[in-house]
Amino acid sequence: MTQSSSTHASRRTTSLRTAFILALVALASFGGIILAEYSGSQQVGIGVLGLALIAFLLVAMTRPGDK
Amino acid sequence: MTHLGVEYGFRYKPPQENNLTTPLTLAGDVARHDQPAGIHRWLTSTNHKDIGTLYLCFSFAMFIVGGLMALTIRAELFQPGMQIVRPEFFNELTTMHGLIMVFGAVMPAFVGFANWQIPMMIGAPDMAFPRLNNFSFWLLPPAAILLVASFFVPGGASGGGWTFYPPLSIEMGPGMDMAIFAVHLLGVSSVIGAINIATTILNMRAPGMTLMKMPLFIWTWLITAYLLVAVIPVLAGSVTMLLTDRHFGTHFFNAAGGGDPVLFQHIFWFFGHPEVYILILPAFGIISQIIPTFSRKPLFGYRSMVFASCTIAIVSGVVWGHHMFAVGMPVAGQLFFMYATLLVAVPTGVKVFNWTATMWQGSLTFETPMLFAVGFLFVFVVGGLTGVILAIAPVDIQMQDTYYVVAHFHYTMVAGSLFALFAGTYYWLPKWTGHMYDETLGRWHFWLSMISFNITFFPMHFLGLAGMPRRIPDYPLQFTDFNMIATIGAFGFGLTQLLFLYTVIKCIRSGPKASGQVWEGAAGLEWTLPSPPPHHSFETPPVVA
Repeated sequence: MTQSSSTHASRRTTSLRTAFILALVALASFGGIILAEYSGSQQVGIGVLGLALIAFLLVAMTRPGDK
Repeated sequence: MTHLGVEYGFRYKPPQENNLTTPLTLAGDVARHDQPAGIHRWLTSTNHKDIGTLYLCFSFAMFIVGGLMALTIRAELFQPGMQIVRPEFFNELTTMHGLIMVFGAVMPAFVGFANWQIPMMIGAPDMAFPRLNNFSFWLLPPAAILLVASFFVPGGASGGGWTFYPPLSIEMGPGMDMAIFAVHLLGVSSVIGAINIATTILNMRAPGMTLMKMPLFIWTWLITAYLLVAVIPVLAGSVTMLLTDRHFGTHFFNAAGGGDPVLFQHIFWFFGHPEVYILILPAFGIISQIIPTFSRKPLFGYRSMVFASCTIAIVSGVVWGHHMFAVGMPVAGQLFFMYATLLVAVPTGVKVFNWTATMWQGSLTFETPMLFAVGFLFVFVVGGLTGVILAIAPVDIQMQDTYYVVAHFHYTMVAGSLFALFAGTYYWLPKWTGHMYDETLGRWHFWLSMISFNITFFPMHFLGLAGMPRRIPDYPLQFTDFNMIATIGAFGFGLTQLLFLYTVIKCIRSGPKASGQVWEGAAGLEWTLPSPPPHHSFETPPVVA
């Protein structure tokens, strides 16, 4: 594998990871708001919000450092 | 080449200077990528520029559809009494006008700009996920068809307002279901697009382009993408619950079954207020690119602009209650939402100050993009100030659902977002097409838009202050004069946009050849590419020193 294609592959993996976490945030928001209303529990709502925040932080931490 | 990066404090090195052997791909090598031609190209393209063009064409078509609805509304309101449409149809028009303009026109237009500009401005060959990009665009036409087709089903289109408030939305006919499905499709498209944009910005930047060296347009889009990912699913969740209330026997918002209609309003506006910033932050980004170019000065206070954008986005998540002062809430709640909303004026004020300071003692010229940018500043400040007035709870309770609110949000959304879109189009059109647009026609477009816009919406402040409620097809005689003026202005504004369409088509087909740099004072990676740019923007990443 050349250096260029390995860089490309590594960038693709990083991009997929970032996209996966962001999709997780979106799904958590979508499912969470319904779950929170369905259960009527405030803890569920706060839990969903916390999960989304942690996932956003994960995006920030797992992206490649400034080049 | 050193001047190209001056604005953001970096120096762009072309590949040769960086000892990279592969030169930039130049225009004319399209065939090398086996790009299909004709309709096949537009249906299957994964190229960011083609998809950007599709988004922009789609959004303009939606502007025409939503605009025709607005003109029908204004024609009905030209005189008191019922003239042209039935009251139910009037409600359907106001609802669909809002939905189409927000979700079908303004949002896709900014995504079109993002598709065209982000890879070119960060030194990437394309978006991170080109096929996903194609998919997110092609979700839009079915959604638009659902919205427009809902006029023809029994009971007509959704007429409960673009906010879908229950109990009205629970009781309406199949047109409401179609609107809900359309919002689902539009939401999925937006979230996929936002994930693609955020991933591209985070992972595809040219070597050396740190976050604090990114152009402001990129920054504002990154923040917008985060907002989209966070709040669009909330809207999707709320309309899904509405759907289950309508058809599956749940009672989330149905008071008759123990549900809470006010809860829907809270959830909707938790999405709805950040949505306002989703529609305006990319506009801020465009203006932040244009003003330095035509002032021939670097942007004043780059860092404070970045932090102001972040602050606006964060604060936007805690101000939703100001849409609901009249619904009833504890005084503590009113005070919280009032002060939090007033707080938004601070970072927004920072931005306006910085744009003005950028122009201060600059070598200013007023080509069409700059005219629209300065026009944006003027009308956006008017919209912002009326927003500050409406943020004050006791005032808002008086003004709620009057034409004052209509005037306020059209000053921010039409004059804010739309003028920035016009500014951005004229600014980057020579880069996209390789031709300069007709400057005389551009200036005519600006002045006619500016004048007719203000004729349309400024009188609405007085109508609102006098107590004219919104979303009504008829009104007392005392409101006639201002309504007539507004209607004349609206038709002028609508006709003026045909001039815009003509100018753009003329530029695409012909015009003086544009250089790569296009504008003397322009800075950034996109201006290092030829006009029009190559099929893949940067096959070899430029190094930003």
